[in-house]
Amino acid sequence: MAYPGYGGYGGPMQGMPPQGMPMQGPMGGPPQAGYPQYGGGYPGNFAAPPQQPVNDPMWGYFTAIAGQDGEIDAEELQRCLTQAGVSGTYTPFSLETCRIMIAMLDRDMTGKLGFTEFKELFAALNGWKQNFMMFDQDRSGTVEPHEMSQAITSMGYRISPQALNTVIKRYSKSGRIYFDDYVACAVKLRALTEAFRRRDQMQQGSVNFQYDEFIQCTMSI
Amino acid sequence: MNYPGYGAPAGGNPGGYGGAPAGGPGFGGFPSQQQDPLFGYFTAVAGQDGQISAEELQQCLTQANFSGGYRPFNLETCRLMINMLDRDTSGTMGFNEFKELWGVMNGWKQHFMSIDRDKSGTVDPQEMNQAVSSMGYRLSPQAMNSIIKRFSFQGKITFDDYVACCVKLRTLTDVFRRRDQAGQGMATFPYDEFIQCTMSS
Repeated sequence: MAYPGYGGYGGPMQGMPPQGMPMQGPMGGPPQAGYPQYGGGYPGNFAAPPQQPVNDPMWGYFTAIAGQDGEIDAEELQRCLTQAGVSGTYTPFSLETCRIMIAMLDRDMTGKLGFTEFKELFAALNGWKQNFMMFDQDRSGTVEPHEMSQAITSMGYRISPQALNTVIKRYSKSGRIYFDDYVACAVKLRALTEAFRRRDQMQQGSVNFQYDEFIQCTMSI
Repeated sequence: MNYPGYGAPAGGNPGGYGGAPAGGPGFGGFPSQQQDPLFGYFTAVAGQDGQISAEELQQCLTQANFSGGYRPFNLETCRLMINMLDRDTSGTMGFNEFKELWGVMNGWKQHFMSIDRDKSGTVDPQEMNQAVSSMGYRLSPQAMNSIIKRFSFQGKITFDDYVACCVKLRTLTDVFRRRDQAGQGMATFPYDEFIQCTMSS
């Protein structure tokens, strides 16, 4: 099941071409009430069942990063991604992005990543990287605001230019957007959109929040 | 000015700030910047462009030992604080904004130290719960649990995460309150506005 926003990512991992595909509209037809079914979303399942951990080539890598407690926390993840040069720049990978990614994947609510969650994270990062590289033509590891705008739209979100500008400004550093901030933005957009949509069953594009639920929903992301 | 269900007043005591800026009359009271003892400090931190970015603020607060631990002060918290005070929406802080922040930080630090009874530099979830209530916020145990979990690291809350939590709570409460003119504790958000407000906080 391919989700918009990833290009080649989303279907069965084996055999998918690595290049970024032009983004199609959201799954299931035109967006309802201005937001997509799954824009920029993260698919929940892999096609193939996981291998036995010890036979998995990523297992050694995982245990090295996870250390004594056998799970990866935000700081360990940051170190790992910085060393792996995932952001494509010389600056450390954002700790806040690591925290957000762990929150997104942390199904057993430990605040840390187990091995399966770790593998999912790497797959998601690859998908995001493909998408990002489509816009980062000069391979600087950054994109410009208008390219970020295109990237967000290509994920299927329908957001006003005003809202887009606010969002992009929030994630810019010196007028450009770095990969790790791009990831944070994508993850947050998805989480907030899902939270909104869960409360908008009638798809009216508008939700009436109580203060307590508003705070709980927006503070926990 | 207390809103039902919100508790926290707009910005004075005992709301999020908790204290007058250290070093004299309040904001805008100094006749000239150059005479202000804090100005020298500001220019050292701000560097060439005369404005403080999130990274420069992080360095400054880490060196001033606000983080109280072995980790640098949280960069995301710095960004949040700049965002909170950034009246000219430049994404950086000028001198007046910096002064305001310095005063506010001292207030927060005092408050934090009063909750951190064992002086460990961190507070536990229960202390955090009391701190948030004492600021005037009325939130369900469920909401509080989500918030505390989000801002904890290894089960405790450090000062910079405590600050991040206070700033976000205040900003989001303001966002909500502006749409709840009737003070009923309910507000309607169209999707686009919801995204704009919550993504930028």
